[in-house]
Amino acid sequence: MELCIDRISKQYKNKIAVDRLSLNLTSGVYGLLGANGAGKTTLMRMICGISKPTSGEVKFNGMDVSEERYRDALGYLPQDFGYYPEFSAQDFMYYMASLKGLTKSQAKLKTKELFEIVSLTEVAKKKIKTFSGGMKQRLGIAQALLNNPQILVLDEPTAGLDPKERVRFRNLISELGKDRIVLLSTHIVSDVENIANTILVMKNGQLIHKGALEEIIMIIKDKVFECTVDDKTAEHLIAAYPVINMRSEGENTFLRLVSDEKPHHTAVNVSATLEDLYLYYFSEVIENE
Amino acid sequence: MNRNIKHVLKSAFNAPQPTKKEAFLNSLPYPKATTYEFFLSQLGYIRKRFWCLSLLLFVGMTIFSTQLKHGSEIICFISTILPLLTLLTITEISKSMSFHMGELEDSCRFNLSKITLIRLSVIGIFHFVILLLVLFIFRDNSQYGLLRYALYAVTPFLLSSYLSFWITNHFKAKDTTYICGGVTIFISLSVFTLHSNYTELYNQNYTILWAAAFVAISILLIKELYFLMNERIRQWNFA
Repeated sequence: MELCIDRISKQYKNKIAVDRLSLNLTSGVYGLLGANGAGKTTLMRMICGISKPTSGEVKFNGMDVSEERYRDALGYLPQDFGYYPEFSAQDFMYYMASLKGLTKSQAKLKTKELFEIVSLTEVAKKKIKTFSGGMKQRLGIAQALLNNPQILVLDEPTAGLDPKERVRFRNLISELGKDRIVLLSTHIVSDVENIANTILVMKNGQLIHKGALEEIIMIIKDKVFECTVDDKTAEHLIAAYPVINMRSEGENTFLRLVSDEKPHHTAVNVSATLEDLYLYYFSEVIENE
Repeated sequence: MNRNIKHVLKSAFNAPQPTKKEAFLNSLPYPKATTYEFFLSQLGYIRKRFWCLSLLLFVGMTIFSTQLKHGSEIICFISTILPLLTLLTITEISKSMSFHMGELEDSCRFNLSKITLIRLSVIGIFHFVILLLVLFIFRDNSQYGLLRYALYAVTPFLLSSYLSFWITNHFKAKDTTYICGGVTIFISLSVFTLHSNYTELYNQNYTILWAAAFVAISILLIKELYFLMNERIRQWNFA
């Protein structure tokens, strides 16, 4: 099982959303991290064949992304998806099953099974318009699994889920990743930290890092410091270094920041997390948003 | 093996727990729907209101037309009403765009192009049958002859279809229904005005002009339908 992404690019007028990106994915869970506008959604759309690359190609086990056989092996949850207003959750699943080429009896069987997994059995016959954000998201996850896909692409799957639902979702994804390719993008760093075997970091349409959590974190190992300083020193440090976290502590300010050398004599070196790396790389983008 | 030995063996040993059952089940190909089965399944997903309103329009048009005495009045009425069918078509065809289902639908085995093609085919056949019925019912009431009668009835309908699809292809999804509605009503009123004030346009001398308009609009319509199915319906590509 191999998904080959070979030098794909996507250009919208004068903006390059994805820039000559190459990747080889085998079974496992891949977490795609990046700020808004990094090109995550465009990359996922190209992997799903719904957006045509300006150049490059995507193949799964030799099948081109434009082939029906490729789509037959694919499950996709877009970032924002709609539904026809007259649909109940069950109607929606039957409709999606028909598009995925399942027979009626298979559709019924799979819908029942998946509703159990995502805890929607009780509300199967209710209209989707009455659903909360979390319920809608769970329905989206269920439809992505209808055809038992070998490639599962999930764009912001945990958005709108409460902490309990997120834990259940993580367990489900870990299970699914054993024998298929799961690619998920999220802003929630802890989700990637907990589920992904491999982390992919995107910035400005390019893949800047790829590896296991430990490898990725190595990039800022020994560069994360914490200190509690007076407000004037804090101002100076904030201007000089990328600050990951800050909070007021009485007359002083607590800072967590990234620096190549010790930024202040009271600063202590602490172990880095994926969130530190994320904020370090994307602090500029976040400030501009 | 002796049946008794089999029975004794069965009761003497417990069957081992299945290992890798899930992986084994996943490896089995499940029965898949054929393209024909998919086509049939999609008939049920064309909204009931589309069938009802189309039939209502047809029945209403037929009943009202039978009350009219002159062939020219009948053709005027039919060609004024038929463009309204376009509005029903547009709302049905563009529903993937209107309700943001397109991205999800396009990632499926039967993708958005296929879904749109099926919807267009079903609706096209249904409306073609309506047109044939209309032409058949009133074939003897017309002083124009069947060919001219068909040209006068169908050309405004085609023009309305072409303009509506052009609008769908060039405007934002949420605005299209209103603009198409406005254009359709404008065409209907224009046809009515032409019939009332420019009767010479319906003389035999102009038949060639009507035929040319029919062919030209048909070509333009096919072009717009092709663009809709292959490009426009993927509106997320226009970011």
